[in-house]
Amino acid sequence: VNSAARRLPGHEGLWFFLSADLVLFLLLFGSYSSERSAHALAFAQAKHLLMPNLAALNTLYLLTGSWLAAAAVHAVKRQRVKQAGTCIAGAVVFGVAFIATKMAEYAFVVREGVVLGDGGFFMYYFVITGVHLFHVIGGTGLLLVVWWRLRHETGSATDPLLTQSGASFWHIVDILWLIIFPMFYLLP
Amino acid sequence: MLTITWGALVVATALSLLTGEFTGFSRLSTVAIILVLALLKVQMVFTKFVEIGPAPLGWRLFLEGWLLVVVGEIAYFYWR
Repeated sequence: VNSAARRLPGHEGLWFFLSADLVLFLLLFGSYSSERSAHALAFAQAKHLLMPNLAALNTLYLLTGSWLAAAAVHAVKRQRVKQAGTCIAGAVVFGVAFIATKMAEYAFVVREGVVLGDGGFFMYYFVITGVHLFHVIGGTGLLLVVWWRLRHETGSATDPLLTQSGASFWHIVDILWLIIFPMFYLLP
Repeated sequence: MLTITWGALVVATALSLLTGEFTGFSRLSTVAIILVLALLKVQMVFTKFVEIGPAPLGWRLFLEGWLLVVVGEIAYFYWR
């Protein structure tokens, strides 16, 4: 295998950014877990305000977006640029659906009287899901750029690097949610 | 293959949601099932969607190690 093939899909610089992000979330998950363990009853009671079914729906949105992004990478490698663009457009739609659902959940939680600075469960909930939401918004924006570039592709051979970068960013956003979802919504 | 992976991820999500709502398991069994399902889901995304297989060993170890530490730290604070 040559050195060009032995790399992660996407820009190498992006992967350094994503790895720093993964470490940040690892620390946030550890900090939350430690606090949850110290205040188990209060955290368990606070969790009852959240809606696991809504979060499961958001999980489906991100998983389907990831599936479409991976399909776009396969398509662009075969120079099926139009098909790749359609897949990326689909992933963008699911990204927007996630953002809308999350905002609806925030609105519900705030209406119930929860405030950000309470220092308990909801501080962690807002910080961790909020930082993640910014990643979803950024990832959706990046996928829009990928879609735009694919749509206006005129060259004889399309370089898959940009599509791979957009897809890899989206997969990491998805992976972070696959931990956040059980941690906040499912575990007792 | 991508579609099969997506289907498996959806089934695993449904199973974890049902496990969270089912009251018949002990607390620690519920935690174990949900965390194992989360670990399998992330592993599937790494290998089938990101396709980390051909990546350099250092990156693969970092990503796989990250997953083990994250699931491990969450589990540790339930078991200790």
